[in-house]
Amino acid sequence: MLENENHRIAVIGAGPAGISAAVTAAELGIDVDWYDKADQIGGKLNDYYQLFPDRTSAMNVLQEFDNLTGTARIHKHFGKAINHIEKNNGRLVLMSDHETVGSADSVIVATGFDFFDARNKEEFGYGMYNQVITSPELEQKLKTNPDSLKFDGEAPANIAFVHCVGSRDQQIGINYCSRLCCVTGIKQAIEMRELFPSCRVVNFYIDLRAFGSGYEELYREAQEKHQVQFIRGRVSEASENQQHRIVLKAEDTLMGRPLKITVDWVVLLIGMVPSCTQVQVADHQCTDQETGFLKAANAFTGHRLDGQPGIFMAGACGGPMSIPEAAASGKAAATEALQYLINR
Amino acid sequence: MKQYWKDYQKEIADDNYFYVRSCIRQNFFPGAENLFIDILKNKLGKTVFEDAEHTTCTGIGYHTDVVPLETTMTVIARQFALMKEKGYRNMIASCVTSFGLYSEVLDMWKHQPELKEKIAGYLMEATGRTFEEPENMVHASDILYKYRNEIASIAKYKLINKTTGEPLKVVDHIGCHYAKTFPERGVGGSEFPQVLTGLITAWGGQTVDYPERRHCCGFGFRNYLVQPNRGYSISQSKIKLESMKPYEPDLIIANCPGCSMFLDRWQYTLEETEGAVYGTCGNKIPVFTHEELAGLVLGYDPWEIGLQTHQVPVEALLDKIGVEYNPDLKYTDRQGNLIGEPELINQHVC
Amino acid sequence: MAGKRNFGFDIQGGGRQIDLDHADTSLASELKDAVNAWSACINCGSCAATCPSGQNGGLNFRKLHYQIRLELPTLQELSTLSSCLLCGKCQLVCPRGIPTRYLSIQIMQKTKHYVRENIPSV
Repeated sequence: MLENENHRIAVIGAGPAGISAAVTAAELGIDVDWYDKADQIGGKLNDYYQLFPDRTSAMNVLQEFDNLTGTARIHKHFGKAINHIEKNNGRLVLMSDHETVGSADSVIVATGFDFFDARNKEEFGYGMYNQVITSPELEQKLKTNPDSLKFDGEAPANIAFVHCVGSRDQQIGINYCSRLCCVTGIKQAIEMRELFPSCRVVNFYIDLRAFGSGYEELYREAQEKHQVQFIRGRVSEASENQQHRIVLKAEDTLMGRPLKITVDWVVLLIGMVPSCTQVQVADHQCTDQETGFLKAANAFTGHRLDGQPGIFMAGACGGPMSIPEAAASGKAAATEALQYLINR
Repeated sequence: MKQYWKDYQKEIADDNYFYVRSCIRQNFFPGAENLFIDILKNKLGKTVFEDAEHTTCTGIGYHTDVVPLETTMTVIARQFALMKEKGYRNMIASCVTSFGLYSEVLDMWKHQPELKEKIAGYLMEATGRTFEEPENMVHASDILYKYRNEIASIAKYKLINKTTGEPLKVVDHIGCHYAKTFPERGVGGSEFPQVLTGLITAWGGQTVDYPERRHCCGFGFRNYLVQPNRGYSISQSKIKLESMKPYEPDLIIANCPGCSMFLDRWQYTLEETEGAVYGTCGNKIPVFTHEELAGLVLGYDPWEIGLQTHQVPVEALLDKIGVEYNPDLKYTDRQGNLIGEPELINQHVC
Repeated sequence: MAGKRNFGFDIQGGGRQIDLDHADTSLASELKDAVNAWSACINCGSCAATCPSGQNGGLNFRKLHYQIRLELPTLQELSTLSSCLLCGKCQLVCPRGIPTRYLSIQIMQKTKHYVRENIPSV
């Protein structure tokens, strides 16, 4: 397919988007230099328990991905964080901390996202009170140590989930919606109800965004089958009582009255923010001014980075997205990279 | 107990202060402001100046819609003008509402310079003065916070129960105008303010974190000044007192003069109207202002600094700390003559 | 200790707050057993929008049965249900397919003692 068999693509990032990009590129006959700051593939997929909407085991998905990456065309260079791409005589030079690490004819950036630091929402007491945790922390506990979710050695009696922490919030300068936290909250609420059948679970939301395939059905299942209580209204503050349980003040907007509840755990559904290990491309501004995520030249027609021929983005580095969306994005970016190499 | 981690850093000037008084602090806590000036001058060696010509900031009038906004701003501009004339750049406000109001006005002028121009015009017309914004404008509790370690090093007493050796459990209450309006202007921000926590821990006590810690005490002039609303205002203090009761605090401190008065006075009112008592053994919880607490640990005589005027008697606490005082001199004047005793409320001893 | 003195004002309690720590959800449990799908309600307001009694009779059906899920409503609030005509329009429009007319009947039956004995029929 390619005249010059020496063409190489670099894929930066080995999360779902990066895996999909690397595998697709290899299947299309291109050699891939694959980088990730961690020592293994998977990115955040390594930390998840079950994936929405149908509660597939994250480990199974990771295993499936892993099975695809064994091809000889993929050359792994793990343990390196690429933070800069320079342009040099038509080639793209990859640098890690000012040190040249490799070069490529085309690069796919799939560096993913970071989670919002919940300490910036002080009123919820994260980092102050032990019983306030984030959704990724809950995911870890469900996966590796569900017993740690007991309170004083007993099953917890009440758990609250707080939606929109670090998203849709002018106070912290993040005005976008992180899209996947609502369905994460629904899924985790179900998981907690299953783990602790005597526990009351309350989700405090502003707008429930269950847009994806199977998400709305999961919401109904949470309500009807698992008796999760959804309350539309914001939590204004979390304080600790003498037993170290958390007292929450909220508004029930559908009743138009203030509400109070004491819970054993507060789970903050934190949003997605641009990765701090984002790749700089020469000195060009490729990020969206408002959100900080990477920006495509034309989001309707492809994944090429704004102003950068030959550099493509895939996955959540371009904005919040789910694992299947990231994987599809990786495939698309790889195909576009191939088109670029053929046409140049 | 976890460390209160959020360190909002705030610039606090270190000397040459221009002090502006509170309208009401001296009414309820007669010794407080003089004590503060004394501590700064004689214990910490600072220069503090208070201008005999300075006035109220009009906070009470502003918050009750009695004084129009332009008037308030012009009066505040005059305060700044006095400061400038006397050669001072650093202001200390005794009252938290004043501090909040100065912050608000400075913020308004920042966003609307034409407003500032207009006020400068009014001030010139009314008084012939010109003004400059202070370089540094803080609340009195910020100063004590800044010098908490110096005070601790010369303190005579610590906030420790002398019988058990345990640190005293202290509830700290921050006036709403201190940090809720402009979180960056408060030490520690608005959710977990540090200004009084810092004092308490530096002086040997431990803070109590109770669920209604952030709740307003109810002393909003807008409501409180009108008697039919009094019950509503008091119900806010009641929420706080009920929430802190299980923690058995030894004392409450507040940096706002109104809050100190509320939490002190309403313990009496709530006992009379509802029979509710919030301290241990049927006693009430003593309430101190930050200056009084500083004076206490520095070894000032309790009656010299006006503690006898508190609604909630302070003797039990003084005994707990081991402060030396003469109980017989409580209701005497400087010459030792009895000036009359109020109807005593029975105190229980555990 | 101290008697009940009156200083000229009443000190209120926190009457407006819904206290989920102490709320009475017994009626809600009974109704959930009787009408399984009720838990799927998303408070869209379709039922209240189409309700004739909502227009003229002072009944806010959505709010009433939502409130029952949180806490036991007052007698006054429950009595508004007596203007329900059992016309069934709410059940026609519910996007979750909840049998809301049946829910209304169930609420009436389970709170019969409260309402009949204390409030004259509308």
